[in-house]
Amino acid sequence: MKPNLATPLCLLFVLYAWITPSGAQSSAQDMDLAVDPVIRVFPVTALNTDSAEVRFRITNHNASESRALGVPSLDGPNADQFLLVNDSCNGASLLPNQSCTVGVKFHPTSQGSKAANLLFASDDTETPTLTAFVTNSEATASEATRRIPPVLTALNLPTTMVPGQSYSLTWSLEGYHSDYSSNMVLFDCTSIAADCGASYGDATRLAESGNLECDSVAPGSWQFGDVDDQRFNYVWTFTVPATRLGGDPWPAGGTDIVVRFYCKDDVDQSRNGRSVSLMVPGKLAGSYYDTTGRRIVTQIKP
Amino acid sequence: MRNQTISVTQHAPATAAYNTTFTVSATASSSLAVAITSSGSCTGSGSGSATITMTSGTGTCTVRYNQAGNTNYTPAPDVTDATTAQKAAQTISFPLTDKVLGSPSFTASATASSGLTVSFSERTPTVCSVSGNTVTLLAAGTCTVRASQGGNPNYNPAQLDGSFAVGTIQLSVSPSNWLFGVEQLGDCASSQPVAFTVKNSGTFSCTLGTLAIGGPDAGQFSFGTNGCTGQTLTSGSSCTVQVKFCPTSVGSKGANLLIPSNDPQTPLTAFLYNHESRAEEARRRLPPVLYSLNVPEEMIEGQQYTLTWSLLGYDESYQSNIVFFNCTGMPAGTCGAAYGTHFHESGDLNPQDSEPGEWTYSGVRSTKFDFSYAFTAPAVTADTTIVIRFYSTDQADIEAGRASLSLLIPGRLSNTYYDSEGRRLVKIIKNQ
Repeated sequence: MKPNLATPLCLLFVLYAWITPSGAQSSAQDMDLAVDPVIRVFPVTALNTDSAEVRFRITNHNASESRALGVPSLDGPNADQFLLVNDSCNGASLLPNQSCTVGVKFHPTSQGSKAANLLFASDDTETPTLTAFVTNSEATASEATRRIPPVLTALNLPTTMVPGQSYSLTWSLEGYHSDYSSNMVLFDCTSIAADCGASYGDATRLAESGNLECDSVAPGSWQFGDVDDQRFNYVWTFTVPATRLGGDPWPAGGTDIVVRFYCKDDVDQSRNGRSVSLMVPGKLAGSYYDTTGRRIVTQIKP
Repeated sequence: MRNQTISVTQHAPATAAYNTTFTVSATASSSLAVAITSSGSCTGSGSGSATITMTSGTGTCTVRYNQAGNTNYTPAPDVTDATTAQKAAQTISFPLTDKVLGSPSFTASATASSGLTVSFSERTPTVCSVSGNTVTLLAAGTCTVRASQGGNPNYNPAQLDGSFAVGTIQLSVSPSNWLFGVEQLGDCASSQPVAFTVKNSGTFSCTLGTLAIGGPDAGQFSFGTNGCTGQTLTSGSSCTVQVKFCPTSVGSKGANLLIPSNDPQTPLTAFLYNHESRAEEARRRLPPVLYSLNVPEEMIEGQQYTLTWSLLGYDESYQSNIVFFNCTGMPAGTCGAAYGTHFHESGDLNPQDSEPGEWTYSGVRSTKFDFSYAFTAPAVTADTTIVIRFYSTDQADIEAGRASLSLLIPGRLSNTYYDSEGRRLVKIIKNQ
């Protein structure tokens, strides 16, 4: 039985849980002030002319206290190649959840790579100076990792699995980061009328591989500029439980199992970040469960 | 009194160049000394012999041999030699050294053996320009500058083409920024190093200076293994330097990896940081997804269809391009494999509308951007299979002029796919 597909997509996009190591650690996630964007790469701009303005937004995420800003400034090797404009942050006192913006224009006076720091002084004791980065250059490898998400490929998942039997499930991620971990999660859709596998935390989560390191790495088939991608291969041996969660027998006619994939790149691994759900590519033998292609359906049949 | 005659034992040459010398000599039958004088385009005199110097490059040098006699001899008949003056040759010295593209304009310097002023002209205008004595580098290649001296009444003109290589130092650092992870406070030894690769893709070698960490939180970062400081990177070579995040306090940190070199244009910099806003994190981690796709399975030739689709994502805006490929005669699997083989495209469209999306990421709400394109199915001689692909570019890359990228197409659609990555949808154009 296929559940109802009219599922709010916000529910489909559930993120994997944090696992936070203990001990005193640096963390920038919960700071009061945040700047967005942190990095901006400016386009090619004719010498001695201004680029279009890019706005940087400072937000006070402190739920109860105001934060006072100083004078935004540019610093660094090529600070004179950028201009501050339309500054509403200068000396501002930001109420909780309030924002201000500063515009930056690129104004090159010579050729070459330029970079500067956009500094926001404040009374935030943890972050007395918040820094953003403005530049006109980006390494091709950095651009590739920024613009091209990893893709699930070479998925080998039986359309039907038998209770008690073991299956070697394999899949690959093709991408430009130096590493990914990946998690395959199975949801039991028995008696679920709708939304099976909508959330990682669902009680119907039957099994998961956990965050696996890849079994092997091979050169990929993509190239971005002069940068080659890699294919990360994952293997998980899954033994289908003899009974459903709670000990009930599997329905004699079989039941749908939603399978989802999650991954986390090297950056987010180092930040203890959560895995994010992967889209499952189009041409597969299995069927799909949602219109964003994040859930595919297989079966367990006694 | 006896007569006497003069015998020139060494005549003046028929021609002589400016500023050269020659020797003449003569004797008298009386054995009295012969006085030698010169006039016209030369100077010099002597008794019996003389060294004559050409003082001009034009005219005639006359050498006169005279014996005036004495109490025993009558004056001898004068003898003269005529030498036609000629301009002297001159040479130009024009030292040049190879230059890195991006170096400031420089003053050309050349000297002529005549001491006369040398002028310059450009011979390779696409590589370098010359204005007066100033040479400006324009592109990589061989720059040739002509040094010319036009001559004067004493010197012939001269010219010399001087060449030097204009090369590049194309230094890059990868990654150009790095978002560091969570690290233990005050425990630099256990911090995970991140490797930055510095590469010279130019044609000239590049010498790196002493790498440094600068910026507001420089003290929060530290070098690991440093294989770059002081290194000379030949064309195509690279080096690696490790940087560790060594926080001594919580909070947002930002610093720069500074890579000095003899690249005249680029003080290379990478950004080291540990913070991003939730919105930026959402944009970084969650690519836009093609959504609400409405493309008929079959389209009839000559009819117009309004194709609609949406992009659901976290950027402030996107452009999107729908691209059509004709699969007639294409080997299996190749239709639509490369953008360049398309027969039609919408071009980069701006969204017609936007509304709050259904996704949220830690409180950041996505946006759904709606696109529409009126497509007239082309005439076909038989039912024709086509492949449709979608491309997108986010706001920052639009502004940066970057090309759009191919989009994954979600799995559960009521049509077929052409590849295992779900980037190519298969449709039919029907022949009427």
